[in-house]
Amino acid sequence: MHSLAFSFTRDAVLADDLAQEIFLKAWFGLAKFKGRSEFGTWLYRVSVNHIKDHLRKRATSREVSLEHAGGRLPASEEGRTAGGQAEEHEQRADLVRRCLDKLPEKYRVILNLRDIQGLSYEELSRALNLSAGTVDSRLFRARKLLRETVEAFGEEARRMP
Amino acid sequence: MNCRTAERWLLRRHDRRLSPDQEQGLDAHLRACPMCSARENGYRNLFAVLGREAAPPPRPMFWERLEARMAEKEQENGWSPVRLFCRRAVPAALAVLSLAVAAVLLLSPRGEREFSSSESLLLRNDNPLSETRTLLESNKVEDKNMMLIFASAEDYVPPQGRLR
Repeated sequence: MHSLAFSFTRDAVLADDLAQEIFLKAWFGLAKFKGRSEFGTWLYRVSVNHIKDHLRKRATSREVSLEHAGGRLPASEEGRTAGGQAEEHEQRADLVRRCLDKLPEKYRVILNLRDIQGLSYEELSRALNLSAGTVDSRLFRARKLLRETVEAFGEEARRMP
Repeated sequence: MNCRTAERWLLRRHDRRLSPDQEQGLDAHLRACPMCSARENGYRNLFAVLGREAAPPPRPMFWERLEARMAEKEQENGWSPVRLFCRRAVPAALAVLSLAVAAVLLLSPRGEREFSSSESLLLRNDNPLSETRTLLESNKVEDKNMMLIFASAEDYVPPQGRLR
């Protein structure tokens, strides 16, 4: 739960708070769990809904500066000579995180659950209440959009002096 | 195979959802298409980054803080039945009160109204002038005068019965 919250917020304190709120919500809403799905899947659904609510509330007050992120990505050759591969990896990871934050919520959620949390397609389908076909197509669009966004900002950063 | 299908299959291969035949077809396309080959590299880098996304451990005393919040919430919930009752009871009581007031106003018996003799005659669909005419047509002048005097009184009843 904490890891899921962190993957959405990138803020350890906020993730901690969210994880606690999710625990409380699940504990006091335990009567709503009817056993139609696995407990873990139900818990994921509760978590995702709570995090989505939080992100929506926060959406108006928060803007991620992609330009800033792109500007910090050095050209690969420069990166190797200046700070080594580790630094370049970190900068690339930073860019990917920021691009991920810029995606529409439904894509961000599915990417987080699949590619960061490692949920299976079946678990995704139950946690997000989507059909298998919708999971497949939404995940494809989300990954494609993320790749295109990262490439676009990577290119822009390389062109900058 | 076109490039769009190749991209879809690239991602399916990442999820291990591609049959051996499809994998062979995809590999053949990738060897022939530099654009799709570059896309494959792009996705590989992306998944490498996403796969390394490790969350830091929760802050110290996570469970202790959680227990404290749970206790606090339970205490709040102890009051919730009372609050819930109040939230429902107050509007219900107001509604019942309004209905009772309306019922009292609508159903309460009104005081009997005293009608004048002319109004009574009119309500009984009688012509009030016929009584006067009977008096005027009376034979004896004294009787006529006396009857006129007594007819002006509300409680007068002529000796031969009520005049019409």
